[in-house]
Amino acid sequence: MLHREIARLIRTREFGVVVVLVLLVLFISSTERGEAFLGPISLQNLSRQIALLGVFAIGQAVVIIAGGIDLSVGTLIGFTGVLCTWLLARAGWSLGASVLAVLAFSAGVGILHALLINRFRLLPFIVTLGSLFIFLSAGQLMTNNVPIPVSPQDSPYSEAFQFLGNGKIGNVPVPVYILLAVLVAVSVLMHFTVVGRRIYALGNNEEATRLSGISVLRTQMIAYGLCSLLAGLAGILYASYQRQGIPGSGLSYELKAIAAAVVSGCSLSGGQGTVIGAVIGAALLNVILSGISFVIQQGASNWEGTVVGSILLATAILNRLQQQWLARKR
Amino acid sequence: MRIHRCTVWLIAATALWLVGCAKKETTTTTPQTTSGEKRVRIVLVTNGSSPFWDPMEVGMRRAAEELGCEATSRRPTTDSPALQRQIIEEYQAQKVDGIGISVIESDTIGPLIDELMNSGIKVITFDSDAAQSKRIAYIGTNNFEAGKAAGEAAKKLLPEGGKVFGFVGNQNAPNARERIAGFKEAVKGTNIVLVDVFDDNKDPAKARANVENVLQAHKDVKMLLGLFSYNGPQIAAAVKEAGLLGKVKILCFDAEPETINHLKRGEIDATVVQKPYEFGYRSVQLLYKIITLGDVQKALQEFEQESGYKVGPNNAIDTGVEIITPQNIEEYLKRLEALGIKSS
Repeated sequence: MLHREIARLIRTREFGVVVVLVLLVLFISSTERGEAFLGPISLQNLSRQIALLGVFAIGQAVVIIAGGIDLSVGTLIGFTGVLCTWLLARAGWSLGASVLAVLAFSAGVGILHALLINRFRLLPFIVTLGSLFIFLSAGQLMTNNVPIPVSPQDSPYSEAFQFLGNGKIGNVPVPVYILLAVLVAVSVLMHFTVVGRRIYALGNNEEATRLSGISVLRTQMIAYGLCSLLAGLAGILYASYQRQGIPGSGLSYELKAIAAAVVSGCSLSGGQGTVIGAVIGAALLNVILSGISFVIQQGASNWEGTVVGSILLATAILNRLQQQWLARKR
Repeated sequence: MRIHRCTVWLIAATALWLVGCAKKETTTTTPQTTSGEKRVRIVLVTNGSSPFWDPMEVGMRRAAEELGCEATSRRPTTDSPALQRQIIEEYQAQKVDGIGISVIESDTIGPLIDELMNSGIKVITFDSDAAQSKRIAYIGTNNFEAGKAAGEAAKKLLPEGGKVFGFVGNQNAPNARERIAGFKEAVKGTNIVLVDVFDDNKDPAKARANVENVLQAHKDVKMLLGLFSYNGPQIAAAVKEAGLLGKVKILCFDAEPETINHLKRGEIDATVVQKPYEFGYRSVQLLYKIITLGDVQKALQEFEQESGYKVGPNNAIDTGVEIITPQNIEEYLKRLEALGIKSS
């Protein structure tokens, strides 16, 4: 029984990434400063970074599974961060109202994406690329490019707001709880509900999905709506983490989200992958990024791209070999 | 049928293109006149979209009002040299009279500056220089001197010496490189060591994560040095979170709104501020003189007399820096307010 379970695990697409992740952690912790890497504060920082990326990587995974792509998440994160801090510090809204307004706005953005893609037969790539530019500029217009701090003198909700991204409950950063809640909710949606099956079906074959009487538009609305909603949530968390709404932040984060989703098995042609895979991918990316500062003593920044790129490629190759091996076994 | 239609389009497009080319040539031959009722047009192109440029624009507008010329500024949305080149080329096409540029990358923008100068547009650089190009002058912080000032401040904050880590958008950017070199020069012979500098590509969340990693990987760190304007607030946030305020010194550059908040609370130990208002004001003043006098040497002489700044070798004009600490922050803010600026 146990043997069968292990065999099943080894067959999953996420297995390769987990192997690389474990090897990487073992390697980093074996180096001179490895002890500090596994120290409590370092792990708290690392888990917060993973959570911040994981939240919107999950959304990206859902859209990719549905056969689409969302390039706007990065600048939407920047814009929603600005929007949230603006509502708090400039408009004087309460934290709850600001967060709800930002989430509602974000979900609306995703639904609009789905409408444009569906009604005008536009490629998701171009629709969300358009949004990417609009949100970048919208944040700059709204703030005249000056970050919006949320200090106690700016808003009575300053502390509660800062708590979202910086706070800890029982030594675990708050974003980690948020990530877990999102992960559980979206996993249930994707694997145990009709909606989830429709999203997978849509990614596998849009025409067949349409012919079987499923509303493609409604399914796309859910996928894109969820993706933008989670980007908005990430935007609030990043703004809190940075302690201010910064126009232009979040730039190119969409690539991180796509990398996190794809490295652990989401296929860019749709229909394949899992949301937990996106979180594992987010963990891999952040372990690499943090690990570099611990392992490389001099000129760490210049090594970053080489290290990240090589490990991503190695993981992809490992994944492919595993799939080929499994195909031969069958 | 299809091929036929294609050919027609192709011919039409070629014809249009030829007309466009011809037109371009004719307009270049007409001489530029700045006299008469035509107002002098000056454009200042920054190296990014940071709020650092707000006071620069205040200074630019003030000078334009005083001189009665037209001055606009453009901020590229990213620090991409290609984007900056594109923006400058837009103004080249509009045939403005003078352009001031905060150069993102001298290898990309330098040749473009030469081209502008050859076509009769007067070019100076501000904030970030392309010293090898044909630009007439440079107005801004001498970043090597600013780095040295930071090093002097570091010596006061760390009399015993210790390990320092630096944080910056891109350590290969000329201003970053010079600040780092100046800092190292000033602390030479002391026990202060700048161990490594981390890049964040201007991503504030990454800027903070870099600090968090250093605080964990190097428990013996004594000071954190933020080299770009947004680095200060991110360093302070990370140090505060780690409970190390007071134990790890924070030295940064510029005065973003959050940097000022941290200084008021004594959480940042010192910041090196430049004079962006002066960049804007003096760039317009100098360009206007060069354009209207038509004689660079005379323009520089008059500029030197009126501004009180010294024109250095290679026509570099250093506007200097100041060190702001929790002790003198209030006085500094009052001075800014008098100029009509919130922060720099």
